[in-house]
Amino acid sequence: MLTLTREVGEKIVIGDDVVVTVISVSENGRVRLGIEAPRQIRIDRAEVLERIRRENLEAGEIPSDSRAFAAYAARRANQRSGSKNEVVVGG
Amino acid sequence: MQTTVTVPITLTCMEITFRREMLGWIGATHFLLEPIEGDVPGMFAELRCTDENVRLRSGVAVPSPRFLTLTPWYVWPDYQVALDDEFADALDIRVEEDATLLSIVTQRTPLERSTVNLFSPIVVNRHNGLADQFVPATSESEVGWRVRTPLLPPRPTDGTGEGGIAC
Repeated sequence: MLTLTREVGEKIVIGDDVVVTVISVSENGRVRLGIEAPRQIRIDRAEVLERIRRENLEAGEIPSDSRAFAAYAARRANQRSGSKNEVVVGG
Repeated sequence: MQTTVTVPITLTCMEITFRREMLGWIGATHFLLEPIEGDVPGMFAELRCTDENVRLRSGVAVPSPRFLTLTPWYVWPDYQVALDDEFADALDIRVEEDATLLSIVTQRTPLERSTVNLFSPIVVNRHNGLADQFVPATSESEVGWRVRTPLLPPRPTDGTGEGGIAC
């Protein structure tokens, strides 16, 4: 891994069109970065992306009869209020 | 400026193209959205990948992955998502009525452990079928909607005999 030391206001250039700027560093160690990059490049916090990726993977392993599940879930949800717009579930 | 999506759009069967592959599923960009008829038509839909050669990061091929999605307002009437301009522009979403939101359901056993991803919904331009999964720049606690939001209420224990299904 390449390690660089930068100060607030200084930049790092990645490739031809990605620029990372150190905006601020707080006393508790939080670093605020500004990133300029082409739109097609995904920029997200790694742990958030990994959490969503894992959830997407698990969601794709659905049972064969997801329609039965949908019918059951809709029925359960509607039992709460009798109106689809007033349903509150999951509490 | 942001586009805040707050209104449900009636789902119709449509072809959907992700502008980049769905997170976790390499090569998965083309999908068919099929609303599920039932007690509440349009509440759920099946999102079925139509690409060949979809695979996991491990290299394992997965033929035709499919997902169950929920239109969140049926369960959470106050649900809303604030899309940043760059995300909305990339999908050519100009006003909130251009967008349809799909929350991915993760089914688990027992069914009461099933959850809905309200944090990062799939956003679809309902006019051209262009889609992407929105990832907020802030945390789950700041957004107020979680990746794993329980879908079903706890199973009743009062002996009224809740009917289940076999999955």
